Amino acid sequence: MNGRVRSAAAIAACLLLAACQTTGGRSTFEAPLRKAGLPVTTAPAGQEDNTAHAAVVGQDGSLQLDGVDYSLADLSPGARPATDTDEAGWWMVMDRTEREVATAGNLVTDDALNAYVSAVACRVAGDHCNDLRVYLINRPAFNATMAPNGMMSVWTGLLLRVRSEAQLATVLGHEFGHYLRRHTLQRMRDVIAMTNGLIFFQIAVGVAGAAPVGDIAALGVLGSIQSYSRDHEREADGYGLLFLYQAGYDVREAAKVWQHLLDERDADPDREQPSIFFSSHPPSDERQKVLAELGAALHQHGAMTDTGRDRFLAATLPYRHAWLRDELNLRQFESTDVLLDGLLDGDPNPAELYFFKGELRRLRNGDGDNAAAIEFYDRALSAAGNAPPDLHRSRGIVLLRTGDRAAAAEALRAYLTAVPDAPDRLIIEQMIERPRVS
Amino acid sequence: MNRLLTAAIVLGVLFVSACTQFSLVEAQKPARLGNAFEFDPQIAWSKTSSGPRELWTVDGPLLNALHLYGGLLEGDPLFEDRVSKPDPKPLFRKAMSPLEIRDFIVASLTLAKLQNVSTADLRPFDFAGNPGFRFEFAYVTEDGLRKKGFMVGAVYDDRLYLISYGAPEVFYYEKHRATVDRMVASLRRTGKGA
Repeated sequence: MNGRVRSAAAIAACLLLAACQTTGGRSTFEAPLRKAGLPVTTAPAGQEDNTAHAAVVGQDGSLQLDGVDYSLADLSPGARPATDTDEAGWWMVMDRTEREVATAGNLVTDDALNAYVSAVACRVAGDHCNDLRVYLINRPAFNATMAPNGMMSVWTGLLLRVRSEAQLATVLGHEFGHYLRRHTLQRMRDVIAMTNGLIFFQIAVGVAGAAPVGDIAALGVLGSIQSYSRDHEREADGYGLLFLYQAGYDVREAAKVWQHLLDERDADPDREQPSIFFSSHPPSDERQKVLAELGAALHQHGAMTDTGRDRFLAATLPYRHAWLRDELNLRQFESTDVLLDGLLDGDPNPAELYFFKGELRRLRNGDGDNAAAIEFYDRALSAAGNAPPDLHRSRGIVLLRTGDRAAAAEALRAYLTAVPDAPDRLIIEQMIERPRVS
Repeated sequence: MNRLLTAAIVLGVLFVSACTQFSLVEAQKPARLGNAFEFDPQIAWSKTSSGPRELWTVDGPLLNALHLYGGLLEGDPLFEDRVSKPDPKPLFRKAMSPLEIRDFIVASLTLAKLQNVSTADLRPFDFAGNPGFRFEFAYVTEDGLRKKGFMVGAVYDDRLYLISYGAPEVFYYEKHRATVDRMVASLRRTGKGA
């Protein structure tokens, strides 16, 4: 029953947030670029294949181009659906959700960070800047969502994982692509046509937390929903790349987002994925490969080199300590260790990352972890950047475990010196006087 | 068949949740914290319990919640496992220092979807004659309600004993804080008298 409720909820979330699986179909990735007259191969000048293929008009008036359904026009800037349409209904549902999100406990209210991410979204969305509202959500998982009414959410676990402004813009552009192409509406209409709307009843019940009244029996129906969503994902990836190009970013950054996620996934392939985005946007090898190839083709054409890494680091590094702490609380140590290794590549503050590699081992507390933790703490102290003053306290805790009371007392004293107004001073003074191993 | 099974499970869940029964805690009668400690409740509470974990409240668990842990054992999680998840939970280890117990509690609260969990003023606390600790905590619920509280605890005889009082910052925290302070001050080893 649980599984069924979960799948119903997942489907609904996919539909409402326009996020789902992608597994193939290169022409759909290419469609947005072809439509904009941009190259999709690295063939020499004069031989590029950059023309949009012929449009196919169906008997029902539908318009297909490169495998993408363009029957629904793009949303124009500032547009709101007419109130008597089904689209307006979905906007209304999401407007209501948005009011809840705006007061949620996990909303990041920091002005500087919000301003930064909104500015990147604006750079990507161009004329649509005022149509998007970005909400930063404090959750340690890679996720971003796009609602049909322009509500975009970006989770802090995503900000922790992308490593440049261009990589952030890749994801924001992907989400904006869902909005522009009205993917939610497309799928609502497709699904309703296929199921007479019955499935929505079940999904609504599923989301409400009760058991679905009937089976979501027609697996064939489910399959069709997912195949539509896969096309939308491919198309959104293509848009992500297109917007990245149009905004003047280095388009080679797009594929790196997925490469980093693949690295993490491979570190711990068995674990349950913590976010809807991760399970519904699998960082597939194929996706990474297509984006790398298309990025190379575009780069040859435009050769923009702005990754915005420095701007990104300046805007996000002040928050990284807290995000890494949240990440460690998930206790997914193997994949977090891969994440930390990845972040270490050219990072301006390796001391902080080595500290967290030590913290990971302290919290895991497995065989050999105490010694390894001490090693990483020591490395943090000698590395470039700023080791957090908490390091000494952590070092003291681990040394106490190993029974080295003198060294532990010394580390705890170093902590009290580094943090004169430590909120745990009294208990630490007691631990220095009476170090107790058990 | 599948549908029958689903219906049976749903009914089962309904019955079980209907059976979460609260019983009266009398103001004047000493209450137990595990087998090792007891204290005076001061006022009448409603309580529900499961194993070593008890929840006491006056106005309802969302408005004031007193969590009593009457001895977590080595390897116990702070919260009971309702759903089996493959993700590893933080677990209590009897060799933990107060600093590590605080980390264990913060990680457990965070995993329970509480937001911005923070702690302050971790200090030694005389836990009925045993070396213990006390600290303040604050967090925001998923819906955006700000709550705060404090916790006292000690590891005694390899078990972790905790008393945690939490309530919304606005009005409810102060409403029963002094009462809980008096309760905690009355802590004593079982059978030692008031």
